[in-house]
Amino acid sequence: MIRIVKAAYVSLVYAFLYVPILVLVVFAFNDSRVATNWQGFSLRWFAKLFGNETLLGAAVNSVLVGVLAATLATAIGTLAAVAIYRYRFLGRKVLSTAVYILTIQPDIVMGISLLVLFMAVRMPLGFTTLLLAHVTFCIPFVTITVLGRLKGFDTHIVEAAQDLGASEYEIFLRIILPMILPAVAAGWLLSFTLSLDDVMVSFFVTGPSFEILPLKIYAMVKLGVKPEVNALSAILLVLTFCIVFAAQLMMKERREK
Amino acid sequence: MTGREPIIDIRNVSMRFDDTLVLDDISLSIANGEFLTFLGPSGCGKTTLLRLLAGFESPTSGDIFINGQRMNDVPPHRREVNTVFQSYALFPHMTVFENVAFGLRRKKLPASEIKGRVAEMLALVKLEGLGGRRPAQLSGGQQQRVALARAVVNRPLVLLLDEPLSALDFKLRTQMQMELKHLQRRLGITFVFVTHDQAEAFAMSDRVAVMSSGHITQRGTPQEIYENPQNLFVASFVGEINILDAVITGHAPDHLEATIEGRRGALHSRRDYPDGQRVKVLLRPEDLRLSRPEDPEAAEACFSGVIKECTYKGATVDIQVEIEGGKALQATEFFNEDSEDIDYRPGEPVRVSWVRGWETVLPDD
Amino acid sequence: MTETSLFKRLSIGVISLWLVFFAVVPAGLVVIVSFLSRDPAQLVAPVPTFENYTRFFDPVFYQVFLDSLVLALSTALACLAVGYPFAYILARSRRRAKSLMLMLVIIPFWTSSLIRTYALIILLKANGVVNSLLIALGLIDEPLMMLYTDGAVLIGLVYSLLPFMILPLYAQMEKLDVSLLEAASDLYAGKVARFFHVTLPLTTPGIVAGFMLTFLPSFCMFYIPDLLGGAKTMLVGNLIKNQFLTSRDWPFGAAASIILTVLMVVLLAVYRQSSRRLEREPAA
Repeated sequence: MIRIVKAAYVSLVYAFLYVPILVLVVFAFNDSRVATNWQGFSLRWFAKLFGNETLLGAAVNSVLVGVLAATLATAIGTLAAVAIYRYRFLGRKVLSTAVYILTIQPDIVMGISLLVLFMAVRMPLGFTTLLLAHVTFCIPFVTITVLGRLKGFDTHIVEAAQDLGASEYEIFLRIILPMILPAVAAGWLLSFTLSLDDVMVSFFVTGPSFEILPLKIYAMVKLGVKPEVNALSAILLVLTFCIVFAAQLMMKERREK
Repeated sequence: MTGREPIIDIRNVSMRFDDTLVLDDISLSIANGEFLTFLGPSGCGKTTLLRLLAGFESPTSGDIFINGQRMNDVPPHRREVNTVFQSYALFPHMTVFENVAFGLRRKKLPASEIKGRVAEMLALVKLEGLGGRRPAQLSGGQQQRVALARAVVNRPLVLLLDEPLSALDFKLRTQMQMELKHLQRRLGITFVFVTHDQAEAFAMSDRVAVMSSGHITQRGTPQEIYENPQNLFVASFVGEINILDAVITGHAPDHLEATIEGRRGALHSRRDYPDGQRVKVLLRPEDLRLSRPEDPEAAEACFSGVIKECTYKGATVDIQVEIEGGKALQATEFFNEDSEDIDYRPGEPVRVSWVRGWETVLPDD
Repeated sequence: MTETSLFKRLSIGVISLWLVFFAVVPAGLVVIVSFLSRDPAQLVAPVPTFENYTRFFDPVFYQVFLDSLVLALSTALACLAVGYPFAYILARSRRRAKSLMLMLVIIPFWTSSLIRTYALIILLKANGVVNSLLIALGLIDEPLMMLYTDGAVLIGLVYSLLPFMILPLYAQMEKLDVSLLEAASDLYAGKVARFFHVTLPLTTPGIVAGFMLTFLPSFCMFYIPDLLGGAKTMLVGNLIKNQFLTSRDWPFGAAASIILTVLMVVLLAVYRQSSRRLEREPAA
């Protein structure tokens, strides 16, 4: 009896989380202008989407910023995790606390602070400012992901490498990097999704010269439900699902050594 | 101490972490080819001392010389010493071969030589044919051998071993102790071993340094340390021991007269103590002799008491005796083909004596 | 280890510089701006003032804060009510099922909350899926007005933030040693006593962490009231957004964001306190 109640409860919560998403995806294939009446299967909204040059341009911009931001953030965030894990230095505690604070800091606060910064240095809002902002909010996620993996390792492994004659650079390249590689890859994928989905920070730090998908979607959604928005959202949802799934698999692999 | 030149010279080394003094003015020379063990309870500083030799830490004060060179600030990868870690610290993403070859590759030796030396080493530790496995696919004992091979293959001047056997079960551990000892003799490399297990230390070492709260409290051969502990800590840390309270009451030509646990008796000591000095008398369980009141040797016995408990141990029997005054003593009797009379029953009255001169007398402080 | 290698200096240096330039300096600038005066032409005039903070006592803004606070509290508590039993069941489920179940929570965690909010519109609007369904079932004749209400905003926030409550709760419950529960039962604790004396205290850090990750964003997610609440409901997030982009009153917007930051610091302190109590070693 208790088991049935539990199963029912769990199913209800999953339904709450997934039914809206599924409805959205299903209606993306609806051959009707009115979103709520099912008129049969159609790909016409996808076709319309791919004919929309502004949207395509925004998509290219989003992917470009996503790839660059994820790559830069992964490089910096991974090095930061290794530094926090390996070295005792002045301000180490401050650094690791700062990284954690950045993950819980409300996005809007980061958005306006960066806006103030860019205005103060008279940097025009656009590609560069957007990229810098995205790198900033992705770094902590990479650092935490990588640090989580590093903490699972025997600290003596690094000492063993030192003992066997490896230099700092060799230790990073031959010992640490191969061991954390799945976490680094997961960090990259998560950064890419974060960048691709971000609304709150991007809203403040990009200008009309450089349009990206989430802000386009926001502008379109404000005007109401449109089938092509369904199609676009469906594509982004499926993309996110695949990326998160892959990232989770990579982080899981380590636990089953 | 062995007459050979020292390979390691530790001079007045102290180590401080934040506010705690982990090592307090340690000095010790280790001879080339020696098997030396740091023995002590956890937290006594023995692992820190080993890490100073390996180069993972630098001493707060004092100097460390290896092969005549001051090593204080030389990083681990520039020292000709290698470590076998307690956790083995095998690289999980590399095969056994790659693990063992790691140090040789850092030295940029030619590939053919590396291959030869690794193969030779794997044969030496009986791991032929397992070079392609990953650490996770090996048993604990096999991982231990890989850790050993990975360090020894570099032909270090000194091999440092940090409780390397503690994760193994009892049988494998005793077997590995013998193998380590043989390996050390065969290679002639100096071994510095760290353990908290006195049986392990005694089984392998040429010399043992007993450590307690940052000091070396006694150093010597296993026999010296067991038979002549210089203080109560060493006495009670290495093996079971009975500690009796006594007061010196007079001097005879070949012994001291004393009141031991309230009974008059004779003590033999290399050191002289003045009359009235309070002392501790230390007796190993196997040095105590039990006899029945009617036996002839009972007349010489110092104490009388009653049997509290007998524990059968196979080759020996551990007997607990409560002597007059209420103190409990631990005695060990060996089974002997021609005497069946160690079959005591609880409650039985006995006399307790010890082999003359085998007691250790220490000042009571 | 006195040898400071280039690698060490590089790895510490890059992140430190990045954080100084893109986190510390901007935060400092916001603090400074919040104490300056507004200037229609230059955005900010270098005239120091406390007015940006005293303006929060103006009933209009005071009301926004109060409404936001009520909404954020409701959101966090609703997430806790739904998420706590869920995380508990999740942590206690069998290994194989667990990784799939967990994955199904993690995916929405990373999925665009804007798109998920849009999905809710499709469900809730007047001629949306829910109304069509109810009418088809004959339960109602007229479509219910669900969109553009405070309820819709609350549902939207809970929908977006629920995974942020479940995951920290789950992480904390995973750490809960089953033998502690068994020990409690062994020592005559009934189910209720066991929950209040063992489970609840030991999962408190998870509750605080989940609370922090749902309560704070609830103030800020300006697009949720924009899309689901019409423009009627206003959050602190909307207020800040408007100051920066519409009414161009940067100092006031900066002050509002400082208040949010202070709120975050307070919550962080509570979290540290609650998790430190469970650590073995006493606080240094």
